[in-house]
Amino acid sequence: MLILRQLRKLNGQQRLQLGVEQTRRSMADAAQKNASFQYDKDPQPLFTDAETQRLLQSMTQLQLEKVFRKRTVPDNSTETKFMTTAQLEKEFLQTIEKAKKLLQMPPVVQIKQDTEHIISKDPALKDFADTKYVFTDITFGLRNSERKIVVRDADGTLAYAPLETRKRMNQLYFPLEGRRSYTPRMFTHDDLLQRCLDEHKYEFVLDRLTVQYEPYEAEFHNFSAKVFAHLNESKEFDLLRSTRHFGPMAFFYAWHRCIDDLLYDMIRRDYLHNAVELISLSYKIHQVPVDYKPILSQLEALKPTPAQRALAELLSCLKKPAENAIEHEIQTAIGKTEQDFAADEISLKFIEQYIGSKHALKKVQLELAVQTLKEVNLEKLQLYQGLKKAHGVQAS
Amino acid sequence: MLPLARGVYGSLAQITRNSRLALHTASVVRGKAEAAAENEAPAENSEETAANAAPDAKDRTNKIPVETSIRYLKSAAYKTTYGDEFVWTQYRRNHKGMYAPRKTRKTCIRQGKISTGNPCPICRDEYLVLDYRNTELLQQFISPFSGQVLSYSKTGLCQKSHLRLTVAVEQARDCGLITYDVPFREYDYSEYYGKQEEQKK
Amino acid sequence: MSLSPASGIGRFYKHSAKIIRFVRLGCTNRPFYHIVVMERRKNQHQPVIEQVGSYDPLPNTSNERLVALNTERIRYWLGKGAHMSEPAAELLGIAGLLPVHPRTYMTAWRNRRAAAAATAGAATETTEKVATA
Repeated sequence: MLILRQLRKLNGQQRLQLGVEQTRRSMADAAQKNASFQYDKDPQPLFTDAETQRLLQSMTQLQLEKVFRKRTVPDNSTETKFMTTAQLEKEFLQTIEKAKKLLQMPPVVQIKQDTEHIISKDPALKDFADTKYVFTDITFGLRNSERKIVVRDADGTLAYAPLETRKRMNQLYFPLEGRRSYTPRMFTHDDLLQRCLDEHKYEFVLDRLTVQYEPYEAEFHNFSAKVFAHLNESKEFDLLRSTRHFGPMAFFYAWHRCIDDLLYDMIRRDYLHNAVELISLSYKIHQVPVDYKPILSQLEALKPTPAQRALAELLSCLKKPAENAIEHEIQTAIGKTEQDFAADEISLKFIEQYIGSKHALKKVQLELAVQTLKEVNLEKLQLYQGLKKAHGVQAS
Repeated sequence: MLPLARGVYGSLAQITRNSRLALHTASVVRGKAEAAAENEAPAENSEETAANAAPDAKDRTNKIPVETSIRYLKSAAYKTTYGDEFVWTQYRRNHKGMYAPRKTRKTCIRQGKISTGNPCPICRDEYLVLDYRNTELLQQFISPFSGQVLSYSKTGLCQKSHLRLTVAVEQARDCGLITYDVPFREYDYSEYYGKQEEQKK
Repeated sequence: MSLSPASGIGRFYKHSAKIIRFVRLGCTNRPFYHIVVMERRKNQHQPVIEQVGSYDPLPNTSNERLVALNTERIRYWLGKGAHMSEPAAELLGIAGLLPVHPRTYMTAWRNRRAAAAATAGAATETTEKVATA
């Protein structure tokens, strides 16, 4: 309690120093600056589409050590158990499910506008009290969005509460863990947010954003657009890979036609199938008449989904060395299988087609990246074949 | 004769009782003097030393700005004083008997002066300023495992410093200067997409 | 006095008269009310049958008075034939759950009359001042 009181006192002082007006003005400025980065039409049908979701999930990848990194929460105890192999395999499956849950993407929705909805006007009730009354329905089992919250104004009109009041009341009676009743200073002071971004604390800012704001709020859109724009300049995309924010980020870039930097990063890191997925996502969003579906299905047949890959990684500790141990060893040494080489060839063709088209903006850079990757791939392929020959393994 | 003897005896006893701590505290004071000599900011302090041969080491009326403190934490003087350890690791509480009292002392500084022989790690070094901008110092008091502020039974901070520490940490988190693991928020997609999904079906 | 849980621990007879009423909590100069269902004959600080809401009569920083109502349970108890205390009935009337209570109309009318009288008084005062000057 003492701490809270002190904090409130300090916050109060700061607010006084700054002036509420100024902060409001700065918010309005930020909104104007990011006006070009708003979703101009409802992104929901495209985002929730099953194919888009699959593409985004595949792009996000599933790196177990990143998803289950050690978190600094008050209780981060671990449990050690003895298990049979069957139990362990079951546990692995559950782990993958848990990881998928942790990678749930924040929904991408349009900004919700406040609509006035008056229930009744009673002029005979004018001046019945000197303040408003806010009534919240706390019936058990209701969801926050379907809870009825009404306001009786001092002039006697009864209306549904505006969004801001709704959020406040929901937070008051049904608090969301981690959300503050006041706006954190990180989001009110531009310089503090800028400092966070300059220090590349993207995940922290986005995590906080998801907790503090609802996805349909204008602030959520403005701040996330700001973070993604900064990220596009600093090119530290790997920080968000395998977090819940990678999908919305890729979707944002595809929507606003600035996928080239992300594409370059993917090619450089040898995530070619992700690059193909990103390109097809942007084709899909902008309805470019390029048939990407057969290529995607080909790739899907060759490449396992992130969940399958993670499961295989978990199960690999159980497997005993099989009869084709040498082949396996060669594959691990090079990091690629024959299927991967085949998939790379298909995706490289598709990417080059994209670079050649009018949609690519940073053609030279992308071409160079593709060229270097091709050379490296060729070397790897030669090495792979040479090793196979040397060990006398039949080409399967 | 008698009072003098008592004084000598008393000081001797004090030295033997907390010889290790006294040594460390002395090194802190020395390090601080070096810091004062190195930094230009506390120039008035050094002038004072020149004018007044023995400045009162227990005087805490002179408030050190945070910027100086941040610079001090990066300086060589800090390094020689504390090495690579946290500012509280070398500190030991003095207490009667086997078990330390549940709570640490209320405050080390009364009326602008250190009122105790064994001030807490923050109070003994006036260049350690608790402020939300001084993240390097605050990080030393945050557990790397749970992300919480360490207890005063571990760090030995006096109650007043501990309160100031918790406030500063909370402020720093609010400003985003210290990152922490934000609680996971699970979205119920039907809450955002529910109606459209139903219409589709 | 420790608080009883929202579901309440108050014992009651099946056919005794129940009432939806306020219980004043908070402290001196800081009222806070729970809206509860309890036996009519009981003192407000006795254990309640169920808590169905809360009411904070002091306006908050955005100049609102906050009321929380468990409408489902209120309707249930009203259906069971529970009585209403007058302040509770007024509050539910303002909320739009029940018809507006006549007393609310009366206070509104009185407030308007007082305000009109005050403005009229101020107007006459200013005219007098002008006349004397």
